[in-house]
Amino acid sequence: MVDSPNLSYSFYPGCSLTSTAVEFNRSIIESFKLLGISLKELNDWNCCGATALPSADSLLSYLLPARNLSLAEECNLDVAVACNACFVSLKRAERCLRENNSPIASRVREGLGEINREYRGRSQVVHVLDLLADDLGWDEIAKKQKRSLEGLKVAPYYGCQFSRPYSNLQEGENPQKMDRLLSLLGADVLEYDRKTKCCGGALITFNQDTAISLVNELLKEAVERGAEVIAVTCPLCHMNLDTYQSAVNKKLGTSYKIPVVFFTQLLGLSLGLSLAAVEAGRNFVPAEPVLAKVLGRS
Amino acid sequence: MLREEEIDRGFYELVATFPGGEQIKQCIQCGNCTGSCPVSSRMQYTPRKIIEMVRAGMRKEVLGSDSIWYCTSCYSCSVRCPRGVKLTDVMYALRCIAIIGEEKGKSSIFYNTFKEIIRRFGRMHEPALMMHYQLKTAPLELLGLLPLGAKMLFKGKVQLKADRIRGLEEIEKLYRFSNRARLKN
Repeated sequence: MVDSPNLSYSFYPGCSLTSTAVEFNRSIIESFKLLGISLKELNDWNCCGATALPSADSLLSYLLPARNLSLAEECNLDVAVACNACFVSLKRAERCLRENNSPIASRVREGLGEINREYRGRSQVVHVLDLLADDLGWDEIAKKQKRSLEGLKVAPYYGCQFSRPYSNLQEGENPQKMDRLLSLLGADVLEYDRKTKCCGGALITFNQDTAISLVNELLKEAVERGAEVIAVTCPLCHMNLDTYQSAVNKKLGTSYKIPVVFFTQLLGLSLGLSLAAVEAGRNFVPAEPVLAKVLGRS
Repeated sequence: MLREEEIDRGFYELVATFPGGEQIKQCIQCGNCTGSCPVSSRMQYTPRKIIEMVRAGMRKEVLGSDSIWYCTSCYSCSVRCPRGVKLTDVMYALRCIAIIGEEKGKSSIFYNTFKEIIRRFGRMHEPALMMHYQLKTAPLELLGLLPLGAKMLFKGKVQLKADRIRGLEEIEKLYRFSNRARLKN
């Protein structure tokens, strides 16, 4: 019998996972424990600037994630990231610093030098979903499954930045990894045309009309396709779809009531975790009833 | 009609000093970006037009338009562009240029406030972000945020006290370094 792969990473939770998306954080930590993947939280990590900082300070938007990359490299580990915006931000700095001759890369190196740090491109940034699919592999997950998600109709929503811009064009338009994962766990994963369409991101704060109309499109398709739950990979997508669902209803006269969960919460339940261990009670649109029903069935 | 004296011939060169800016030379005006953009129908000038306007030196029109603040960083345009233009980066560049000029409108205030909060804590603290943003844009509506804030608190989704990282001094040095680099340019 072949042993499970010995996987070990630095974990960059990012700011959202310590506040608005604590359920994402907890479900990753608990699930990865069961899967035998070691995650060590990156010591004294800083905000990566997300996709907001590049709009205010170009150079700084490379420097802040670069400090995190340097911290990860000190531990000789690749860095696992959960939030899509953190993923893009860290990957953008990683790619930049792997280029030798670009003017921006040399300025970022100079800036890191000011704080006696460097990044040589050894630690790589990996999204937790890619990690499960590519580093661990489906077979390992199947071996550890305790419960089936059979019958649960899920709309898989990846958002923008899981697959864009850092994957090939085909994955960018029609990513499959969450579909594969949830199907493997027994869920009925629905076709969902808008799986990579934008939720409006930060527009929810300063241009709410626009964001709400984008969120409406996403909710509408999920409901029309018969989804019982929407699974997401990003804290900001989660916030726009769940926290602001009632704002959509109020503004547009709709009556959506569809729970939105992180894909790792579904993974955790399937690995045998309790509803409490995946923090299922934190949704604005309650997710516990539909999840409890599935658990009761298996 | 664009008058000769309104053309800023240095505008493209300025944009080209930002990462990804130079690439707009390659644009063939096919409109793939506009067709892919989830918010182009709401913009004053579509993404395709913005590129041409930058190349034509229409600084005032570009920086004064709402178009540059709509981009959500979804990268649909960037991955579909047949000429390798990373329009998301170009939009970042235009916002940085507009913000350096002066703060106007809610969006630029939001981005600058975001930057200030990280400088203070080394991490994002959403309650501080929302409070400062609201005070600068619509202080009277601050009360309106309370129900949402209270519910988030109840759901355990808000940290009342901000995390302050130990390496805050390093963050401050990076902020100063970036400032100096900008002034040199």
